[in-house]
Amino acid sequence: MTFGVVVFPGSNCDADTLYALREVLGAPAVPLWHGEDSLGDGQSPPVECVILPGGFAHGDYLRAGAIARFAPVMRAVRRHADAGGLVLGICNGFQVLVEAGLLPGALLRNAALEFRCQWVSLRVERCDTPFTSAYRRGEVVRMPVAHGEGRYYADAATLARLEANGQVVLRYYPAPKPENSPHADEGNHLWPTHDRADAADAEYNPNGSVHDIAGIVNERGNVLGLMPHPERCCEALLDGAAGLRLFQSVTHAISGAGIR
Amino acid sequence: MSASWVAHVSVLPKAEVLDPQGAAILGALRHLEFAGVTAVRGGRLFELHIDTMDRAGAEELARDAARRLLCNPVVETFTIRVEAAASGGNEADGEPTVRAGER
Repeated sequence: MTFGVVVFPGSNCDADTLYALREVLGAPAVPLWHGEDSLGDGQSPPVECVILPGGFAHGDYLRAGAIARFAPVMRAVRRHADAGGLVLGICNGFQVLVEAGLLPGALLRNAALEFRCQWVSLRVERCDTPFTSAYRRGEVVRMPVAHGEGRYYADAATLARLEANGQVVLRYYPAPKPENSPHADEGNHLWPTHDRADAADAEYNPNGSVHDIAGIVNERGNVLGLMPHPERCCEALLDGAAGLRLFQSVTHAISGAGIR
Repeated sequence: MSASWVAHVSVLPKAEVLDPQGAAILGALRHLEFAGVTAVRGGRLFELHIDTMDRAGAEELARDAARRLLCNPVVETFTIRVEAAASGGNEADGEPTVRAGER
């Protein structure tokens, strides 16, 4: 199967994402230019999972994702999603998906008004989505976040619908106690512990998202948006490989379930 | 013949949406002892310079721009005010119209 990674002007995690897919996961992955109205040239194998990467598309001018959603490639992304194809929005990509209406709600300025670049703990609420089958339900994993506008917001009716439908896939969660955490001692020598355990315990929700929401899927379950960066934690060298399992889930969903 | 207008589109976070920027500004105002200020909401003002036949056309265009791009209806509301563009010292074309946006 082939991944496509959209490149907007201002995307800055596209190369990291392509690296993680190609070099770590070992899957074919192609960049998709924002100005193209299609997901590929029609010659190469079709793109089966489109990823909108992190960054600052169009400088985050107006609102994060507000201008990127009108890019020609977004028409192709919408067609892909409407046809049941997999779409994954990471960080700025999540912001683009909510602006485009492919996911409900909005992502607002962090409640503390700070750009947050830190590790967070996430509870995997569902493992029956195409993006999370390689996790266990209720498992707590660590991923990095880096954003200034990641506070998920939806009105009460939308929130109730999200929860009733089980569309909340990832939630910020207090870090497990060290004795229970497989990562407790990992990498602690790299920087002072107050950047990690203490801060994570005190503010496990880094941006003030309602219901501690870190990632949601659409009703159909084929579009996922999340603020954390799975592509930044695909190798033990990078202090954890929890993110790789998200991409492995996608390859499993495509090859296992025979989507397209 | 078309005329020149300036549409001011004000975009504010909805009342029910937490506005940490407004809260921070309120805190600063209190620090400066502006005791009477009880709440602040921070938003954006867009000034659209528009050439259309009439004021209604300018207002309609600005409303369309606000709906489709300038305002995110999930979390924001907007109001529009249209006035004649000042040109070479001519007096403005009457009073500015003030219309409510969408709440």
